[in-house]
Amino acid sequence: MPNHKEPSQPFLVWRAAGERPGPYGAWRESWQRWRRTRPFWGGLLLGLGGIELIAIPLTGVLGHGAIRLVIYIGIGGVFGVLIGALMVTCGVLICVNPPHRTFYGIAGILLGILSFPASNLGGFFIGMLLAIAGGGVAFAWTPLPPEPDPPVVIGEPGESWEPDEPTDPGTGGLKGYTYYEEFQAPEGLDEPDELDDAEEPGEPDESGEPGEPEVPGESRAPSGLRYLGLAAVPLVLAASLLGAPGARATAAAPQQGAGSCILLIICLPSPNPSPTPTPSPGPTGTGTGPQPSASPSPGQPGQPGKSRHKGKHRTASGPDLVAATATSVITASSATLDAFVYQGAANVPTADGGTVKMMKFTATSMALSGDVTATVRQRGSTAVTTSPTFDFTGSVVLYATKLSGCLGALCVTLTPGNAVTVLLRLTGGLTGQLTLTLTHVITDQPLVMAGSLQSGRLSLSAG
Amino acid sequence: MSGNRQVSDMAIVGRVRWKRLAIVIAPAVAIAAILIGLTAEGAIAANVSVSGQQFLVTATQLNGTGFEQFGSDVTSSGSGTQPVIVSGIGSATLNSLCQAVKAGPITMRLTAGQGNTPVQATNLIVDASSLAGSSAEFHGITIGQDAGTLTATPGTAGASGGFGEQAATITIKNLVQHTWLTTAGTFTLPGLHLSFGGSCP
Repeated sequence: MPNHKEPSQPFLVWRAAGERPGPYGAWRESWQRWRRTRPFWGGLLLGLGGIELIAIPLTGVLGHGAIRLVIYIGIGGVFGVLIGALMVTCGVLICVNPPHRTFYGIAGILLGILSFPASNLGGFFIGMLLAIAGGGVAFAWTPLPPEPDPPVVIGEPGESWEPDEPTDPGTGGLKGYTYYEEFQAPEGLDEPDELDDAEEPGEPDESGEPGEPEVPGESRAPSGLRYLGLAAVPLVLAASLLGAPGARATAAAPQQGAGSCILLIICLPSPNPSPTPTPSPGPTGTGTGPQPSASPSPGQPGQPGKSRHKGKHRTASGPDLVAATATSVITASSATLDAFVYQGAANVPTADGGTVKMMKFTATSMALSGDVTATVRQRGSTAVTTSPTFDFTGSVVLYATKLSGCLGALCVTLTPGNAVTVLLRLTGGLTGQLTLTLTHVITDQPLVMAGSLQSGRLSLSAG
Repeated sequence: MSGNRQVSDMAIVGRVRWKRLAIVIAPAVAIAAILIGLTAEGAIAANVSVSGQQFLVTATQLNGTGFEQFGSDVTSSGSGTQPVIVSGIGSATLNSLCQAVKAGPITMRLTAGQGNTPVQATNLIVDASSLAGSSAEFHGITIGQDAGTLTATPGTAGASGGFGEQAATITIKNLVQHTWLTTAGTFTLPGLHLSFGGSCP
């Protein structure tokens, strides 16, 4: 986009007579003419601001696919993108429809201000400043009064013209110039003596030109009163804007559920059968201790689910929990288990509708130590979690397809239904009284629920 | 509109009236300054959603309720598909948050919550390629659940069949994350400070 700007000729596009336009020159001139007959720079700045606002949240997300995008960004992010899109629209409309530039300019300014809380702090200030500047420039752009164009209409296009009066104060005459027929003034053809006043480039048209009594000057702003009204519009709107976030901040916690509900309706088919997504609605806030959580984990302490769980644990099925099918392993140098009891084999449902047969263990606590590593492989990528210690306490329930470890020198591998597990089942009453320490522990497809987990230095990486 | 094209505004060259510009710019800048000030006070919650390049997020302590985590991947223009760990927290507070974004040659550093008032975020979702903390504590945790059935952070769940975990509450000390995407429904940023250059500790 050529940004050449010619310094002179505030309202007429002149061309030297000797310079015959080539195809490029004609294009350039029409481009210049197009640019000067509308608040082009205002629209451009506004549009750039909008693009910047859109780019920040969307650049790296497009690969997620549309649905995931909506889930991820949430309703707030949609607002951010929406504001950017509206800014671009205003910018384009300012150029396409200049008569409405006042509205679009002010709308652009308001959108720019609004983008600060709504869209990444106004695109980290850049988009906001571009929008305010662009909207302001579009608002401030004013067509020059049509009166001072008498020389334009005197001749025919292409005709060389010999002025006999000093009609052009800037160039001292129009000799050797041709002109465009587009810029015809409808009136005031025969008042060339007014040109000196009207052609002053820097003169604001409200600054008391006494002339032009014959043209009321519809483009002239009447007075400061109208300006005051225009200036009040953003103030009033911003005042209401300021009122709203205050209410939003106080209602932030309860609103969280509601906003997500909208999201859930929009984009999530809610695969879990018990859709009660209300994490910690109570007044406890971020307090410690077990919270009334929406997680379907049946083994949480202090929940009614626990007793229900105990009642049916001999049949041993994962009640409303869906096990992941991605390959996962937890290894640790040693595991110390309090009141470790094998509860039998359980058919745990999986997301594909089937079930997977897993062993179910319970313990009052389970402490893993020595290079605890959880490795998850799914869709070609691996996520590894490492920590020196993992301390599970509070009604630990462990499901696994395979568990191996060494009790002293005796190393065993447990799978559902093998001889050792049968033995364990029979001696369940005994192991329930003991504290077992296993070494070289490997747990396949672990599914762990616990009242709490305390971890040492934690490190997760995906690769 | 095509009618308008014929009339004066389209055909007449115009220019910017600086007085008029000042009249509209001055209140706009004043309001923007008020908004910025209120945001830096933590009175107004901002909405943050950044993606596109890897950036660094640190905090001395993260407390959250409604935590969930699962594996996924993002597609970035630079390095193709990148596996990430997605963490969602329904409601979180972060002490001494620092976020460093590299935009071309410029590094932009955003800090907030340095004092007694922590940063608060709702529906915080972070796609991280790595995550570390000096210690972590979870309550009401489930590990190994199907990622598609996670419910701790409403509206966020992974792909069905994937490995996921969730917890009612979470506390991570000295959090350091390399993230590809951060988004939060609302972010209050008390003590907001935006600077160029430098990185997070």
